[in-house]
Amino acid sequence: MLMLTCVPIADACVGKTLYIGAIDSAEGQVLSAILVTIISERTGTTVNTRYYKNARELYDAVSAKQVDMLIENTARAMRIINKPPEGDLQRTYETVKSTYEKYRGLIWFKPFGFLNGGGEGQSYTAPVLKVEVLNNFPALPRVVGKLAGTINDDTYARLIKSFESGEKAQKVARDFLKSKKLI
Amino acid sequence: MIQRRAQVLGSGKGRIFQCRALLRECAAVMTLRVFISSFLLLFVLSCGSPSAKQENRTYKIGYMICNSEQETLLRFRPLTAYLSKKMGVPFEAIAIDTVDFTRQVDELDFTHTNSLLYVIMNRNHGVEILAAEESGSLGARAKGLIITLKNSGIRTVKDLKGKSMVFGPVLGPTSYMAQLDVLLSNGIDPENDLSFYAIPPGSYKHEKVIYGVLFGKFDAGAAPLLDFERMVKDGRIDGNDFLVVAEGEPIPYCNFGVTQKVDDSFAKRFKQVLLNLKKGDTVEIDGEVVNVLDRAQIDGYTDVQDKDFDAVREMAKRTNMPPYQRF
Repeated sequence: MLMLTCVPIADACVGKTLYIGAIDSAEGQVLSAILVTIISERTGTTVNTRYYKNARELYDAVSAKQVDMLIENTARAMRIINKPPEGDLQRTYETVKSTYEKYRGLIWFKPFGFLNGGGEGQSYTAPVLKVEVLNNFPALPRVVGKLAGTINDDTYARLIKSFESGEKAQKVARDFLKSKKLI
Repeated sequence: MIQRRAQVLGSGKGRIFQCRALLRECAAVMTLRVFISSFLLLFVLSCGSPSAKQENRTYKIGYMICNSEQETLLRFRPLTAYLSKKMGVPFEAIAIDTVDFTRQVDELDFTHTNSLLYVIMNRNHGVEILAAEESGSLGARAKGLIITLKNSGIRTVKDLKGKSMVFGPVLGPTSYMAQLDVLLSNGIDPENDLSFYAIPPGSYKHEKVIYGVLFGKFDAGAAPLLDFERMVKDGRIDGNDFLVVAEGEPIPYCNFGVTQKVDDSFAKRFKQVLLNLKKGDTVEIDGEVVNVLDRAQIDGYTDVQDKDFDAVREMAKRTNMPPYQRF
């Protein structure tokens, strides 16, 4: 909570290029590639990814206005807001959603669907966007919202396996989005 | 000081004259005091007045980029030079992308945007409306169309179910919001009822939308009436190839607004120069005499009130657009 409350709500950092912040991992690369592809293909907006070693660096980048959206899971988010883990996944999601919006101007979208990503155990993973980004790109809630519930645990495992066996994240993302008729 | 001087004056007959002299001196001193006070007051007021400060600086006009930065500056630099000439102060034209406008508005003096951006900036930044632009068959109003090819088989909005659609810039009220409003009010949710929809990348999005429909890439498109009319007039498309499936409600077209940085009297003068602008008014720019309105591709400016934008506000609420978005 201290980390969130000490940082003032950032001024708009939206430029013509949007930046996704992701942890430099297989999951971070694949999910950010999915976001980059669907946003750029569906809204004509240029989107790039910035990778970070860990959550601290990622959140520093958010505070420094270097990142417009990120990919986050509810387990790590609870640690960041200094709340103890909850057994109820939906309640956890509601807690982080309301806290992030209130204290940091970050909006949690509906989860991708898988529960066992990122080595965090059972946890929701979802796109998280800055409010000012949504104000200047009002089509994003609709477009990013299309990813809700599209990646179950099996699909997640398949996507990560494809990436780890040498396929580029962009190709993994495109193939996935095409299979869902999202691009 | 006068009391102190009276004590020094003597008494007796000469006192009357002395009193008269004193009264005359009092009046003179009072007059001088009033004069000095008034002078100082005027001096202080004039130094503190925003208009006096602003007269000595360059005013910034932010022009929303319509099709491309180059095109926007080509259209509006002559108007900006004309305003400088008429107002007697330098103005600078700055072309700003729609998605960057709200970030930069606080650095501007005047804004030239579409009606949705005005509504957003009015609510969030205190920008006030000055004048609306007139162009095309609707004058100072604009309208969004949903177009399709005549041979598409699509005749009504409900026929769009299961079809693909291309939209223009999202912050364009007649290229996205008006059409979204029409779809939603006819029970078509783009997320569930269209087979696919997208927004083209890069510049000249309105034209890309119309060409996207013409060349069959999409079943239907969301285009502003004015851009459609211009392409027909230029001979780039044949209007007979298209069918207008639906029209959004008319809303104010592009407009000039003033930010909180500018003094009221200066803003009124600015507005009057716009309203007085006539066909045939010219300005010299880069060594060339340019017709101001022709170059800006507009017919003139007209008075408009903030309440004229209420239709835009209601549309933004219905479509969950800024400044009323809820997540």
